[in-house]
Amino acid sequence: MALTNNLKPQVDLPVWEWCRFAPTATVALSGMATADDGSARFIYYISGSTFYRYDTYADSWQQLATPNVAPLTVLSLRYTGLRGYHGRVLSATSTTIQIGGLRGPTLNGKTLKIISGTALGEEKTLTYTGETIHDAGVVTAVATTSLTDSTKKWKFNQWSGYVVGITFGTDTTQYKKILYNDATTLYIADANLQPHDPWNNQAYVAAAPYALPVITAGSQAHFQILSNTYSVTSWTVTPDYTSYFTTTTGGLYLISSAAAAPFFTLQYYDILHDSWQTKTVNQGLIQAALGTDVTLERFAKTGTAFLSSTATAGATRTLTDAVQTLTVDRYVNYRIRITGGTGIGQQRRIVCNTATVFTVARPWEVTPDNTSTYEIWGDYDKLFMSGGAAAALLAYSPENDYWMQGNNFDDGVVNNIGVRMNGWNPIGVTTGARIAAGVTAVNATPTAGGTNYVVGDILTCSVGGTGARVIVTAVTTGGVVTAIELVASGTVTGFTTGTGKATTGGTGSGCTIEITSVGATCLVTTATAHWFKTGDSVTVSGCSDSAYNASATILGVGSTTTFDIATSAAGSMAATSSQSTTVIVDSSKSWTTNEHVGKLVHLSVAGTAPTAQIRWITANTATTLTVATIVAGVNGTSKYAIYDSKVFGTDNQFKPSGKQNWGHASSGSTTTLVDSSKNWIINQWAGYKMRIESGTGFASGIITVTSNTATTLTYTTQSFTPDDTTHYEIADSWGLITTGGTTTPVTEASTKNWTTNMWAGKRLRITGGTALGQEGAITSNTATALTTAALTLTDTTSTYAILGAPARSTGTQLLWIWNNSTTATKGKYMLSPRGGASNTFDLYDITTSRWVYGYFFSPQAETLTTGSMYAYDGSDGIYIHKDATGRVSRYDMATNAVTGLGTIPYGHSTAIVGNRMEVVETTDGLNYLYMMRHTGAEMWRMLIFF
Amino acid sequence: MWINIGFFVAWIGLIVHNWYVMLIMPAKYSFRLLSKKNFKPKARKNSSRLSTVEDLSANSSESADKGKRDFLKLAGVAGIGLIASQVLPKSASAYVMGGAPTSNVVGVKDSTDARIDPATEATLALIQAKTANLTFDGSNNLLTSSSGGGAVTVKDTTNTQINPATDDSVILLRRILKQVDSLGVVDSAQRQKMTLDSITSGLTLSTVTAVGTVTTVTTVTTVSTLTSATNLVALGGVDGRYLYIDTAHNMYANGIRSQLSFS
Repeated sequence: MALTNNLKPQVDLPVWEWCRFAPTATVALSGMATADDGSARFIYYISGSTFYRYDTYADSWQQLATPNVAPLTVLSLRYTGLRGYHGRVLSATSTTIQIGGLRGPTLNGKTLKIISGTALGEEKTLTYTGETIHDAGVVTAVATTSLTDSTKKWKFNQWSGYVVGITFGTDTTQYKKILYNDATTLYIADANLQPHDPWNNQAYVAAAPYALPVITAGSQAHFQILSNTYSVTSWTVTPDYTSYFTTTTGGLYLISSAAAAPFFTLQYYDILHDSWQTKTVNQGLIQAALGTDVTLERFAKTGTAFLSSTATAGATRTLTDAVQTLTVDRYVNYRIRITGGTGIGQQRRIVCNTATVFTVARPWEVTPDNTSTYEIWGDYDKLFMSGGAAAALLAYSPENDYWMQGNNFDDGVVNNIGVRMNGWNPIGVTTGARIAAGVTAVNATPTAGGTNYVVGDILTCSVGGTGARVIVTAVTTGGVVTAIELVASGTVTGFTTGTGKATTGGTGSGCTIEITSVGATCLVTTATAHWFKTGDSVTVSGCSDSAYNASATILGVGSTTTFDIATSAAGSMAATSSQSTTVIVDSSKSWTTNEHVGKLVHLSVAGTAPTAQIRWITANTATTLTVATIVAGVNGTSKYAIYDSKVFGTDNQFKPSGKQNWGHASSGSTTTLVDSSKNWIINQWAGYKMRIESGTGFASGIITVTSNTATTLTYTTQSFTPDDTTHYEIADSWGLITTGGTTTPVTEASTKNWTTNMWAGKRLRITGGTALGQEGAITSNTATALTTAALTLTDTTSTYAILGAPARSTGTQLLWIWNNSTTATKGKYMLSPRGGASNTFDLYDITTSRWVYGYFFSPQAETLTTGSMYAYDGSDGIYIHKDATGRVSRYDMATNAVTGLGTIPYGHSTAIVGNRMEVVETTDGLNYLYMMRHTGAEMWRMLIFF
Repeated sequence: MWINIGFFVAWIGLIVHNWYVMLIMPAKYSFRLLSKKNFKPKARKNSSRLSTVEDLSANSSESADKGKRDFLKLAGVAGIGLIASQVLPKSASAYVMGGAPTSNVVGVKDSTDARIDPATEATLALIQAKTANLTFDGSNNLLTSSSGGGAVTVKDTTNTQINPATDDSVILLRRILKQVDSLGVVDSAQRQKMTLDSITSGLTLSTVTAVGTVTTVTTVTTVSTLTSATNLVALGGVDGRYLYIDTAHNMYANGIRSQLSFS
């Protein structure tokens, strides 16, 4: 609809309209959020634990579900349009899909995206066709993680991915996804499966309007197991049970403080599901509860892509687009996504780019080619947090459910032997017991049906061998078995084919079966529960007998922690490498040797608030990482992540252009690297350590610079000759401590040559090893050592970084400027006012991961502290509300100017932290600024027309 | 006969009742009258103010005035005779004093009904001795002295000397108590409470600086100036802020929305 706007600045004055009062007044523990891409009808508002949304159409409020964990002290709320309702595909045809959806047509008209597994990258609009209630019952036992109906005899994992809803009794209307099941119990949560399925691993929580199901007579929970079917336009690749989806129906992230380690909480609200999920927060990253202010910002897919094109070629870690003339490293730390053709659906973080070539953080699983279309977006797998009176920036990976201090390269679940489905993390294997002649197939029709059996009876056959089992899947009148399936191949060899094999067990008698095939089988026992079903295809890795390290089809699932596969191996499974106090193993990986040397690895135990160990990686093989002493990872349950030791916001020693510590080589030799764009001071880098980040020379480990000229770095002989693909970085302000201390926590002998006291006043962060997470102000420095107020004693396992920007304080915020009008910087910066009555803003450069601090804008006299709020309009405008004055200004990124916007028509009450100001764009393109009153229930809006 | 004398003693007690000392006790609304030790005053039946009479001279420091007190006893007796002789008719006094009514001679008897001759009684010497310690002014008023030497003094419980002739606090207290008596209600804790009559007719308040909370006002005819109503919760049952809200909506409708058109 075309809009004609006849409002004239200076002639027409802004008008603040009063909106309906919020049901709960604003407090320090409150915040607002809305979509920032013009799609917002609702503004979400949380005050304490009460959660509402304001309907901008209806000028009214609705209460929403209460968070699982009550916020504490401070909070920040952020919307994401990238996420929504998650689940796994149960089945699909060329034009349909069956999922564990919500009741009725809840998902009708919504967009579903396959984000892993088969059909990765496919997006479809759903048209509701029906709902099926597969089973129902009355709960006989309950836990926060499971429901039991002792009258059932289900097949193992037959309900994995379905939805179980409480339809009567206490906790009615709560619907959860089933992770796995045994004969009588449905499991909806399991701490060990958090790394595998963080979006659906959600225990029952007594948070209004929900409660914990009970078995008390009169209020006992009745449950239903259901799924939904939708029609879609034809799939290019039809999804299957490995396919994992999300809808783009939106969600919100809520971060807040916690009284005990890990001292903060992160929760996700699924708008469509009206339910909260508790996300993982790693211990060790924060040393005290967030007490002053906190802010959360996410990169998102908003507006249009920064770049859309078609690749001309691809390689293991690169995508080439020969038609481009890109500024070097323009899109570092952005995300490239294959949108069509070969490799569709894959997405990677860009670690560097030349004029035509993008290099990504980890290898493609399917190498792109000239059929591959791609788009570049902000790195939407990052959710940044700052605040808590610290200078550190931390980021959360929504896709992989962990926190990082620097840009990530890879992650997974440690395993000695792993078994994985396509697109999923591997399940750890504890044993794999081979027998030479196990049952590999049975006739689905029994030889004799016997009598008095019921569906679900498990019948054991020990004729010839021992312990083969089948499950009854159909009976006729009188309990005569008419159909069976294999669930276990046997534990002792000796089975032979033939009919009339006697069975025992079940409720009846007389059933005999036909074994149609025998062969070498392996009974695999997993370290955690799994969700596999008979017939699923899995890939085994990590066995010393390579015959196992291949795809296999599951013959039968005998329990939630066992299954059988056929094998050609000569013996039982044995691991090539195992977790130890110095080695972390992920058998499913195929890393380049030493590609991760000098990076940090973060190892966490299972659960959503895991303890953590972070270490400097000293070496790596294809499947192992070598580190300083740790408590060994737990096979199958410990989560790890690899990220840059140059953490977010690390300062750099030489800032003038031409003297910086990173770049692309122009040429070189085995002992030199030439960067003709540089104009270094002679020997400014002598003694410093360098790493080749990508291109030729990649994975060469740590290289020590022995001297340098204006353009050339010299070092000991290497096995590569740098060229224009070589991307290097010198560690000038971070590294591995050689001598620890408390007031001199950092000494890096011989590898630094800092100017005395150049770091005084900056912040030091211990990023790994002993004293992890400590942060303090640097009081002085020598050429190789940093002095601070006393910190926890560091040692030679400790790693550090010198942070560029000061600690944040009250009134701070992070705002990603994703759509400014300057093409060269679009999406490149996050703006962060320091708060604490400072007038200063800092700009975080996403491409360098460094701060442009002390940024100037005009005028800049006004200070900002408690009560200051900010909103971004999706263009060049950032709206700034000062303290509790009611005055709003507009900062224009394009002109670097600050001008007035308006003043609310009513005084604020007591100033409080938290952001409750948002810009909402109507479908016609009108921008309204919404603002809530401090310590009040009032809200106003103003049309921005000048 | 002794009954009559007692009557006169009491009467004299009234005359000298300025010697009573009123002490304010810790209890807010009560006080006690204290007399000098050698008086034996009776509580006044018609005076609720006199709840207790106590001996003031328990303080040993008063012993120096003992002679003076003795004198007062004697002076009282002598005064009785003197006054009686002046006031009573001769015939009546004869009856009262025990003399023969027809002889015009007044007699005095002791407790054994033996006639006393005042002119010869040894007590006169004692009276004289005591009288010598007293100081009288020209009008025969008995003088007090702050030094206590040779004069009668009165002290309160804090040992502060009181001048009965000039200390008016006693009188003021009596007046206050009298007024309070008519208004007060004594509760079970012996606290006097006041009851104010309700305002039944129109009330004009010229200036009210601050009013905390007024629950209900039936009619206010005129409010000349209302400086601030910070939290006008409801007006006609509607949130008071809607005065501004509706105005703002109108402003938006007239000033903003009218300038926007969609096609």
